[in-house]
Amino acid sequence: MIAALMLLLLAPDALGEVKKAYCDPVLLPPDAPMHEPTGDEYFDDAVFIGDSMMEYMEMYELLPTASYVWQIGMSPMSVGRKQFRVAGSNEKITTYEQAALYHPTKIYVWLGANGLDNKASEPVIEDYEKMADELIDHFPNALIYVISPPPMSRERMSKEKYVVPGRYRKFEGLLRELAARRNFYYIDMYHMIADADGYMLLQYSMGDGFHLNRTALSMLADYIRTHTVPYPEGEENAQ
Amino acid sequence: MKKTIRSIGLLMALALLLSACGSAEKKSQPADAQKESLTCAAWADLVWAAAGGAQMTDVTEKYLEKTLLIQAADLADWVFRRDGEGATPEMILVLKVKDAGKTDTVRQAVQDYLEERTLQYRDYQPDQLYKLENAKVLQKDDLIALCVSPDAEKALKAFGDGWK
Repeated sequence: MIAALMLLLLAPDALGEVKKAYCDPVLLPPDAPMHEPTGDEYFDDAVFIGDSMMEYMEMYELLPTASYVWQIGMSPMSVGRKQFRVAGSNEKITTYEQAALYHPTKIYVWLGANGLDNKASEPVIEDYEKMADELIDHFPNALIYVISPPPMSRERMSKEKYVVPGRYRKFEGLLRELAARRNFYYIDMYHMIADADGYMLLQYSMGDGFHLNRTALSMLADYIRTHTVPYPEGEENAQ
Repeated sequence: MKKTIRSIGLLMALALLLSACGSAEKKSQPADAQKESLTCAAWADLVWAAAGGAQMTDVTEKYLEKTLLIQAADLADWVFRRDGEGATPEMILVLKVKDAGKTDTVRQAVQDYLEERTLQYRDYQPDQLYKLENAKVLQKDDLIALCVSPDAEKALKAFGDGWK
């Protein structure tokens, strides 16, 4: 009984600790150092998890050797509930099970645009925290990168009425803090895309003020290639 | 390069149709006869020119296999194009199945994909949903096709006789 109580008290949650991802002991998160573009081989065992924008990343073959797990409308809240069909059967598997099929040692997550379109930044970051726990549980030996979502264009936000630029700016800051807490490497897409007022720059819009066009996605791919962390030497792929 | 090939394919397809239209009294029958020799890409060019909206991007073999859950090796020829620049569900795909015994399986895979996509768009972009709801998986012998466009009727008409 006393032992059980002790265990309970020492559990990470009881101590107010959060689960942390695997990371390089020298190149500490959240910032990955800038370097010359890495080759495609770095992404051979990388999985990119995201929404419709990730679909375009895959379609454009910007990181051709990477694997992609995306669904239209996926959000930090829905990522754990999404189902993927399995070839040759009626079975369906979860996002994490689908990602695990690729045995990743690196995981890139780009979510939040679906979520911020109808919720404030705080509840979306709470969803992100839950997703962070699930990611770490499923992939305890993977380097995890998180990418901040882009804001909508001025025109799109004025149509949506209840969405304001400050929400994305605030979320960007919260996501950076979360990344530091969780040992995630952080990729700041927000500041690449936003103007001084916090709206998506029109030259990066696919036309709907929500999705990013090929130019913007190429920029993101270039940034990713120049901000990687080598998988720590001597570590086995234990996924 | 792909765009150039596509343009040449489109011109050839249109030339075939124009020559057929101009040389016969019964316009639809010769055009359909000429269509028999079209490649999957030429079919896609032809139908999309009639019914299309968005600028399309050819997807990779990896994308095809992952989204349709079929093997490209089971296809003698194929084309799969998605809206590459406009964030709509628009697409066209034409698949020529190698083995007649697998035609039903491939058709079912495309049907499953259409249903999954329709389900995803129901909450995501309801204003685009009609394009998926109006789209039909079509078959003509060993060819399977799906066109998700702003005008499903025009697409159906462009495919011509024999598709069901």
